[in-house]
Amino acid sequence: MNLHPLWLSLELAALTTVILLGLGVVIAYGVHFFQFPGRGILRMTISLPLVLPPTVLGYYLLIAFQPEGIFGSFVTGTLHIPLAFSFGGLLLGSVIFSLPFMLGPVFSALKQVPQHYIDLAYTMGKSKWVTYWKVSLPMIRPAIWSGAAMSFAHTMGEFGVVWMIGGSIPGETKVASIELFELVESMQYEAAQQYAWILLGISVIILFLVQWLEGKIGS
Amino acid sequence: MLKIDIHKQLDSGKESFVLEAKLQVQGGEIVALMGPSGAGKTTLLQILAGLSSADRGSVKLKNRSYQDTATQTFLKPQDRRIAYIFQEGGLFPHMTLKENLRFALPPGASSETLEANLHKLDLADMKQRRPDQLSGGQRQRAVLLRAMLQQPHMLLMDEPLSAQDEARRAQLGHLIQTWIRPLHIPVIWVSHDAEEVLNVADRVVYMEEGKIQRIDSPENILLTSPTETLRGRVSEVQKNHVIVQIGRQQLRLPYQGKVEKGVWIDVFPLSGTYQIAKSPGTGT
Repeated sequence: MNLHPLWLSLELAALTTVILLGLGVVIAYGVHFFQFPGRGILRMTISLPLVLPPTVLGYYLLIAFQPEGIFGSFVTGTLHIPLAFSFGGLLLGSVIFSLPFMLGPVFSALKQVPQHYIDLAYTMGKSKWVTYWKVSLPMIRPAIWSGAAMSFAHTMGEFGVVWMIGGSIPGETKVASIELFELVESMQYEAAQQYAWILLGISVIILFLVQWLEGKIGS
Repeated sequence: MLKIDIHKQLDSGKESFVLEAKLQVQGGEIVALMGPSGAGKTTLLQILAGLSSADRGSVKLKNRSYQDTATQTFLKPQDRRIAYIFQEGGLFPHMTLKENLRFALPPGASSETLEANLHKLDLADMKQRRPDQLSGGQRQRAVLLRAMLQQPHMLLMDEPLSAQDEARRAQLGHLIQTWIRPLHIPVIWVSHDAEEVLNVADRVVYMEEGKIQRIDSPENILLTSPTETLRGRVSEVQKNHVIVQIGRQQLRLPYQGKVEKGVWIDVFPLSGTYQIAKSPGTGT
């Protein structure tokens, strides 16, 4: 069995999760602590991947990644990072696609932090950022880990977006879900079953982890 | 001196009314804010702390404007140097006691003061514990110590004695007298506890539906209040009379039956009636 796609999936999921941890913490701070025009639209846009068919999102990302477009020409031409049909593009797509899975639990948990703790920190002279960093974030730690676990699991199983923006380039964009699809397509059912078992096992482990973390949030 | 002159429209679901407060509080003075729920007491504290703003008017402390709508001045809570003790206490649950106290220290403050005060308040052995590992009394002392360590220019307390038993309430009352009063800062304290107010406060501000109805001594307000039930202890038994100690006040009440010194009595001031308390020390 060719395990390379599996390692690529794990690498993609790990990198996506690390990026989302940092990005999620910063976005949650901005959205939760500040009122600004377009805040509601931003929240809706972040949540869009939850309802949008992955292939549709993948299509728009593919358009944006084209070297002829403004974004694509900047990243590819100026920063020299290839996007379309490359691991870099796959990573960026995964971050966008999994963002709501990271932010959902964090937003919910932030709402549950009792307001008097925030007010207390303010009256102690602490800025919004220090209050967020020292008071809110430690209190919602299980939610952050739960969001990270969900993002990891979601990236591991991602298919539509990956297929649209990455295709199936061995060693570059051919991740586990694509490999499984191709094994079935070429009627290699035994290898497909092994792959499916591995992905199922990883998902079940993450599900238990998320449930345990949600128990921690509840308490 | 703290000078308050504010107006704010309040909408609380079914009802809406205007909060109007005009009040001056001296440094070192402890003022109790009393009145029924929804009278606007907590909102007034929030305006003083900068957690809410008045629609019109000003809040000044020692000629420093905290808010003045005429000049569009509004100091953020971070810049007011106010200690606020919430009803819930509010020790951060994820920090140890020492971390909680250190978090409250203003920039440049020495942590030696922290250590010394931990010893004075008998909390030195508890400093590595989290709030849920402390007793109610220890948490109470810690909250008060944290407020002191902030070196505040004003102290606001929102029912810090509620949900406490009799002994803890008495202890906190004592701590407020011995630790807070010497700071010589204005103290505004929302309370529903008539005995503690009689014990600790210098003045009572009685509010209803956003308006200050009366400002007077605790004795004059509470001993003529139609709603308050006071609990006192018989300090002396005389022929046909008993002397009842309620806070700092002594009442001489006619009494014909048998009663012993030290017995608790409930007094209903306006009707002038009273009865032996059913549960001494815990109220009836």
